[in-house]
Amino acid sequence: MKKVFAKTSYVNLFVAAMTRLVNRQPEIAGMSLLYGDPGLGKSRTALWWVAQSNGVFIRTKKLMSGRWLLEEIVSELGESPMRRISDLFRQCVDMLLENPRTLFIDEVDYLAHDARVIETLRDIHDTTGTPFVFIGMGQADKKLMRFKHLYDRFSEVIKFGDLTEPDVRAIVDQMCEVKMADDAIKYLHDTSNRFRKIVVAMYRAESIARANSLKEVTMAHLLGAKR
Amino acid sequence: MRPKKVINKARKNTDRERAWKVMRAMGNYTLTDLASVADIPYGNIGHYHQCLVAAGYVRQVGTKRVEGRPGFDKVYRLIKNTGPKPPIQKDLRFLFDPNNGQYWADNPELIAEVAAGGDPEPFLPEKAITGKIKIYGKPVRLLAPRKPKKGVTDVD
Repeated sequence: MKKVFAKTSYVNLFVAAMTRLVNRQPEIAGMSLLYGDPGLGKSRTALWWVAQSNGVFIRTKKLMSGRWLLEEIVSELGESPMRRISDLFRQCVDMLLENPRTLFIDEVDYLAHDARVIETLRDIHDTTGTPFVFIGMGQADKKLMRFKHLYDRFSEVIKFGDLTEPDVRAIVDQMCEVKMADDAIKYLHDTSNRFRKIVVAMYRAESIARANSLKEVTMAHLLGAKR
Repeated sequence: MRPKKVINKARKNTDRERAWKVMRAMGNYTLTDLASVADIPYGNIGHYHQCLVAAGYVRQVGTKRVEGRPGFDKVYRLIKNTGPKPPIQKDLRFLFDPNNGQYWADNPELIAEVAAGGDPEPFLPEKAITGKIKIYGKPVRLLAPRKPKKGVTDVD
């Protein structure tokens, strides 16, 4: 198995959206929402993008207040936070104006119950024009729809879903060291369309190929190994 | 002629910087996760991570059975999250943390040298090469000491 980050169709969608977000016209609002059920790789995709780019990744906590969030943002940007909340906000805005960086807010559902916190993020966006990416769970779009002024600013909304057959093909092509036949891909997609299950199947396919010096693994090989 | 300035080449978004970012954001992780998400060669992350483990930044919290192949993956967790800047590995067992300005080294002589105001970099490689270093019981080959670059500090 190659230790690479597999790019599925959802990842490509996300990358395209991020590129549009960074190179957008000034009149377009720069907020975006990324949501989906747990275990589909939202945070991992966002983290991969943060690592490549100059982004800031902030994981929110259930108890988070506005001050705590601002302190977290300022310390992630590389300064020690000020004491008064007005100074803190000004410090945050100044730093973002000086050095614009995309802010990724993970688990944004936690902030949805507190209008003050979430509207603070909108204030920061409006004063600095910094792109924001919110990452939330399955119902995040409905939770955030209550804040009309905020939801209005989402220029990109991406939903992560289950893997499709071309996605499985893309993962196998990028990560597996042996080729897999089309029927094997179809079998994988029908039986297990979760990433972890595909990893198991790929390890299995590699060991089958190694033991039998095969160049391509088919569905019959995978079924034979199961018994 | 304009005077040459001493420029500190700030390298941006290096492999290890990316790895540090990912380590801070992930809860539990394996080295495979780190290599794939941070997009960094496995060998590089291995060396850096070993040093972080020895310095107490990272702790192994368990093992994970990977289905489909034999063996286990070690699961780690970052326990000393000092800040956004990645600790700099200056030698195999010598670390500098720019977040709090602290040094960590395997032998206390090094720290004494740093505390006395000495520059640890020029003397370190020679010192390391004199004795055979073993990490986790395996002998490690060290690279030859770097020659100081000419004309870097010249100001005309």
